[in-house]
Amino acid sequence: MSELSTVNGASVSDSAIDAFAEDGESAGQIDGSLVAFKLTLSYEKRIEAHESALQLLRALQEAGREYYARKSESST
Amino acid sequence: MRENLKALLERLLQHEIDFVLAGGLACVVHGSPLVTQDIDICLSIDQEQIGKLRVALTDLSPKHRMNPNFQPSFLDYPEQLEGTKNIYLETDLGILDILSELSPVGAFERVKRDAITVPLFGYQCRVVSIEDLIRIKATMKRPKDKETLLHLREILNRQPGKK
Repeated sequence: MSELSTVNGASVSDSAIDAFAEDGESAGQIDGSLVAFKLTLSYEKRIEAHESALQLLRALQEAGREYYARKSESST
Repeated sequence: MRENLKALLERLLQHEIDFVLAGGLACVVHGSPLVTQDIDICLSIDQEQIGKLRVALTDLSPKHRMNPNFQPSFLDYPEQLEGTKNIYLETDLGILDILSELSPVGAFERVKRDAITVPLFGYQCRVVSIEDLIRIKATMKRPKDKETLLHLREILNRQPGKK
């Protein structure tokens, strides 16, 4: 049985994190603390966090679209 | 408090922190179809900027997150900033990573020099240029970085005036 780490007051299996680190060239480049943080969240919280990320992504996509539209106009 | 990355980024802009948006979110601005769940920013880790950041995050329980056994509050740790290159935080609104340098591009001032500026939430937000993002992603080995690199190169190639 793997050891449990406490993150955010919740327990996370170390093996869940180690599985990433054992992935060949990805070793050492996975942010284990971020993965662990997400794994401590309940299903509802994970969906909520994902939705929050999507909202920001949409805002950034729109900002990028505006930027490139202006750039395209100014170059023509 | 609910996780809300939008509110977290907006707060950094409101508090006039001198930063450049980096990482996956910067790639999204340039059109990469990527999903990411944290905010990476590049800034000069000095007393002025860290002081502003502490004020901006003061009610969000910001704490260092990399070591599960040592997660002090960002509001009072580290006291001395000399030698601090990166700060990895967990806040009530989400994950925030602060990087003083983006390898192989360089330190904050170099990143800022070529950054683009986009309108966001009524503010102007600096974002790492697509050329610099390609330089950064080209040195990374994670599969998702390699995929993002392909997207960014293609996006750049398709821009008007590019061959």
